[in-house]
Amino acid sequence: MQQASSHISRARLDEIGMGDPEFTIELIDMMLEDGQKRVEEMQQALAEHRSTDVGRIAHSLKGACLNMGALDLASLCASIDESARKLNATLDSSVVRQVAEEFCAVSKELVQIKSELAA
Amino acid sequence: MKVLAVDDDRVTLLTLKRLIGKFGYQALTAANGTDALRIFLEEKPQILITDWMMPEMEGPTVVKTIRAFAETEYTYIIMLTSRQDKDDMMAGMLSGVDEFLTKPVDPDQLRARLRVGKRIMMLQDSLGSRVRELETERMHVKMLQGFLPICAYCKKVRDEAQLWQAIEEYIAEHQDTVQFSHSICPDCFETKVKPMQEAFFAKKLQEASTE
Repeated sequence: MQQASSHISRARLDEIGMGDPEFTIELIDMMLEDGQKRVEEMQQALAEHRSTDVGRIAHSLKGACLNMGALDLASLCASIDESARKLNATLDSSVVRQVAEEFCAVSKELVQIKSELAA
Repeated sequence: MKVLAVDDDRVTLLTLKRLIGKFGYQALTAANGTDALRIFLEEKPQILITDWMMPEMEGPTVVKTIRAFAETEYTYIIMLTSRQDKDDMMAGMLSGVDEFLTKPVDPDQLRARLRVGKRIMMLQDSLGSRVRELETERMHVKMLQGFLPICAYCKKVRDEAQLWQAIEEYIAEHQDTVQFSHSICPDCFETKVKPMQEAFFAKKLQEASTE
């Protein structure tokens, strides 16, 4: 269960899952669903130059990532959140792209963990 | 004890709901500030845990609104935040927040803060009960207040309606717990009653002697 991981802190995930595999799976499913939606919304907002919305979405996704132990993804979201707070913010599209890539990696790992828990 | 958790992030909200229930409280949840205010009015939770940044209505606005329309019944409010800036903390405190909890939620810290909240709310309930008791007692003991005009001769008093009435009637009207029975004090017995008795017996003796 304590598999080494580069995208998810299993210690955090196990802590928040409270030793309940079903609950952990429920959290993972929610993260996969909401995370995907948020990444798409963020890309859309960036394309439409809605920097405030990009920041708001990044902030919300950061909370979920911290909760689930996706610490690298949380850091990227925090970076966007911080940039978006600045007056006349111009957001770096490469960071949003990195968020999408990191989310893919996080998702794969969560699916792997989910299959372990379900076994 | 009811605890309302408010967060626009479903993952955090589900985690909070689970933890609150695990720690022995009744968990209520809202995904935004508007729902939070509605549920707050319906369910009257004793403790509120709210996120800071939410779309439409931010946490401090939720807190200010609750503080504004819940003047008599206190609610213990914990603000969830990833902000640790001094100015932000001050802004949160000024909006009416009692305690802060940093994201991501640490189960032990959440449990500890809920215990503090429970303790404060129990103390609040206890104080509220005592205040209600005192208020009831105060209502029962209507105090005679201010100057009361009293006749120097017959001792009648003038009431709020400017009517003169016997002092015992006045006090009976203004003090629910007092009822009068007639009696004679020792001084009046000596000065009023005793002479009458003596006169009475003297008269009787005189009548007997003439017969």
